[in-house]
Amino acid sequence: MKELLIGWSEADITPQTDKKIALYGQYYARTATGIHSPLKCVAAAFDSGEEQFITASLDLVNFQQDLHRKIRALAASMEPEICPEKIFLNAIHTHTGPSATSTGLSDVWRERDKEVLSPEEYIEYLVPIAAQTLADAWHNRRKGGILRAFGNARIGHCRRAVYNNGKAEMYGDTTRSDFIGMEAGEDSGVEMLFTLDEKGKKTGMFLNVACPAQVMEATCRISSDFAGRTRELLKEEFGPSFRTIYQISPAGCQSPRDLVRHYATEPDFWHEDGVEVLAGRLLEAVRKADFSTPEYSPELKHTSLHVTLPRRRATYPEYVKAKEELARLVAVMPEAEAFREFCKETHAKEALSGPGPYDSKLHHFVLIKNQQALIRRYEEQDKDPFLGFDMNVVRLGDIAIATNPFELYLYYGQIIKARSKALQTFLVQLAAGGDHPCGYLPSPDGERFGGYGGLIINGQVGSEGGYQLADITVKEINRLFEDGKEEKA
Amino acid sequence: MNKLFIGWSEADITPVTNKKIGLYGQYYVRLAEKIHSRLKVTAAAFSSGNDHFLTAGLDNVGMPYAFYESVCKRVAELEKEIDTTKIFLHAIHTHSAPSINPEAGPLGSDPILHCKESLREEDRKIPYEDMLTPAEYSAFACEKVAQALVEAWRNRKEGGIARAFGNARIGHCRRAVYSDNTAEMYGDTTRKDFIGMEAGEDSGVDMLFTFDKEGKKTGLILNVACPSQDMESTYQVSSDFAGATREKLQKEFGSDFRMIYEISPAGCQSPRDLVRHYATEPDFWHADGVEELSNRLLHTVTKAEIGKIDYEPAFESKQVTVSLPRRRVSYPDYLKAKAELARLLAIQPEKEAFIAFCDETHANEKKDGHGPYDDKKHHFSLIKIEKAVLVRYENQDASPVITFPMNVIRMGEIAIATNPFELYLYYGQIIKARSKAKQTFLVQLCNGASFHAGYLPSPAGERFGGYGGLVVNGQVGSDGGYKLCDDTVAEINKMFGE
Repeated sequence: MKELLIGWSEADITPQTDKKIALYGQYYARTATGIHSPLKCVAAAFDSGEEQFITASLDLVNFQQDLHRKIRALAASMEPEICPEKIFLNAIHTHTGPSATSTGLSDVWRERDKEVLSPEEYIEYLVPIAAQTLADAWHNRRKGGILRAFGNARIGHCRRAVYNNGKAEMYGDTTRSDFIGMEAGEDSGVEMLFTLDEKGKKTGMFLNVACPAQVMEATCRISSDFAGRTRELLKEEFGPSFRTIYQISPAGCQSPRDLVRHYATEPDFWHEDGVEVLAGRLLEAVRKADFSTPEYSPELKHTSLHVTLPRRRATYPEYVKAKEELARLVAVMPEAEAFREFCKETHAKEALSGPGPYDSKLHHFVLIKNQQALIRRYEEQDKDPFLGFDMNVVRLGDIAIATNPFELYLYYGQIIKARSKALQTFLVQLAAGGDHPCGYLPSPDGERFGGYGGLIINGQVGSEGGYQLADITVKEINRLFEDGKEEKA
Repeated sequence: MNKLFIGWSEADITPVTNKKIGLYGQYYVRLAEKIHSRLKVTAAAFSSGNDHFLTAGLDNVGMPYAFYESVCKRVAELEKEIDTTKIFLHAIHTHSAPSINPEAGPLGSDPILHCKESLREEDRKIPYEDMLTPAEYSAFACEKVAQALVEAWRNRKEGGIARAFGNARIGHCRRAVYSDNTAEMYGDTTRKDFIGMEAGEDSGVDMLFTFDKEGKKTGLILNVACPSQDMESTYQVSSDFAGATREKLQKEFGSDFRMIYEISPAGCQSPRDLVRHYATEPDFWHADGVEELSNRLLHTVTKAEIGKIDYEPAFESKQVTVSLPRRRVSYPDYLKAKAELARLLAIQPEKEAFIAFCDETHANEKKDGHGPYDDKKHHFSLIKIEKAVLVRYENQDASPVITFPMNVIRMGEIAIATNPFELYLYYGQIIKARSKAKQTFLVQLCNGASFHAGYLPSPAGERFGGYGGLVVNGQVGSDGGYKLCDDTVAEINKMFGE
């Protein structure tokens, strides 16, 4: 086996601007009033001489394929030893950073304000920093090893309540007498991969958790949320040069709120105090983790591939119904007026400062957008039937890493992990982007029950593509762990 | 508000006998080789003004109504002050204890089927008279439990309660679903046609601490959505991880500290994470898993943020009789089961199939890997499944409902509500979410019912079938499950001003 070289690097990506900063991640606009915690890009490079991969996390809600490819290309131009297709970045899904996409859903329906930093301006700022961080990680490579570990922390919970009319609602009221259960489960397992220097000192880690970092999502302060706070606590624990990449395992249906206990026993996880509690739990999970044996020459294999999945289709009857419903809705209240009302109601609830969400995903405006999206999908689905994206699959010793660009429901993550031949499988959602804004990829139940996160407006791919994604990912992982045995029928 | 009085007691209920001890909880009985950990009953009594309740957790697999009734009867003889309808008894679901069903034989409930040939070869020479019978053990345990309840009652002193909440990774869904729309308990999740786990899990741990007048901790009710069945396939008497947690808490808080382990609805749960197939943790089929899980719970308790002690909490205790529709079999299903049973029996008769099932199980046990060692799709299991469908169809009109005593408590901001089932997590989530209490302690496997209650599956469990989701596994289906939720929520919320 070849010796492993590992490098880390970290950079601040908080916008440096005199302009106002719009925070991205909700249907309504929020302008930052201050900084709760700075935004970072954290990168790691692994090189066995024969194979390499470079990965980074961005404290952003998401990003698209064009940004990803720009960063890849620039990093490779800065350091010719880097193969661009061996790079993959992921977002931590904080909703309290600027937008790095000009094709996001709510960008299309919100008016631009010249006093606000535009996504294009932020992208121009971000791309060189992210590329430099990747190149720095590459330059910082030293002989080192890896150490895998497993722990647990109570972080994510299913956020979709199901009712006896066969519908689900994100953050739905679970005290209603027609509430008939949560749509899905949760996963308290925390996958960890530490890196070590030659002397065995811990230099950094991947922290892979089935929950997006979005406690602060309805606030107006720039924040790297609990993922950023955990990163800082780990520096206090292991030294200031310790680096952490926070990866979200499939968790499209998850958030940090336990709707079953409706905030009676814990913080509501809509405010800053929740950031501290969750970061404290993750620090504890790291401290109490069960560690494997260090490996200094682990097997390193890497596959980069372009995946295409069928887009979720609207049926003709759905299309006809949506057209009728849209006409009815617009006649009751036109879109622009409905949006103003939606924002007004949201800001009124914000002012009450209780637990979120402050907006209503059943508002007249949202219903208009849902119907419009369905009509659009029907009209373009034959011309543009697929979604394409870059997937990276890595084997590093006994672990596998595999990316996807979605907010992928927990369900698929469980299928992939269970069928993977790796001893630990690090799945990374919101990675690399796709050729459309990918959005959610709901489970069959999510698709059936609808509601925010389960509708056509919320994503390009449905459960048909979800199963294909699970199969493709398992196949690519297991190919890297090939031992001659066929998968069980 | 009235002052609160609290009493605790604990007694050893490990059989005191020279006879061989049969361990119950599987389709086959295991004769114990040794004692891994002692079996206990822990009892607590609470009173305020003219109202009271008593509860006890038993290190046993289940709680038959006949046993509950006999304990209540004995308590009434021993202590006139106690209203026995205010008693509720539950089991921790260890599969490593003798049976408290007095009607069962030494090796099971069917005298023909449960013969010595079902044992491991080395145990078959043991004469029946050298085996402890469930009737003998029930009589022994009944007296101990009744005495423990009375002692708890007599130990009452002024005290207070404080609630706490924590978390621990303990239970996981154990039912794997496949693309043919069937589920299997402990099914192989590496199969290509595996399409997800049937349900979720709950890492939340509800805690109720008790204190003496000086504010010293005296005991704890620990409510977790996972049965205590890590040791379920071993040949050792064991109180499993619930018992180990209890012992560790006594080391932490003093030898007179008492703990009752309650199982929150967890009929679909067990301590094994099938998604990661034992690659990152113990397999939780052996004694090392007991250590790991009890350490996690100890950590949860010691780290708990305990609320303010309430010495005069609002207090209400009642027992209501709940009636639920039994799960029904349709006429086409009945006909199908009859034909299938005839086909199965023609291939291999039931007793022969049972012995083959046991032989295969014992052969798997010897490999010493992770469980389960038996096969719930074995020819014998299939016979049992079809027979149960026939029996249900034939008596469902004569006995269309199941009834059971449900105890519901309000104490301060918490609620406690019982049920006799292995109730799927799904219903627990519904009840907790709709409850007006700040914390809701649901207690499954409690008090027993007019039939052996068994599992109460979620709609998905019922649809996907497999062990835990079939008619053979329980009296009530999802229709009754929703009614149970509504009945429980109504009773709880009445106590909180609805």
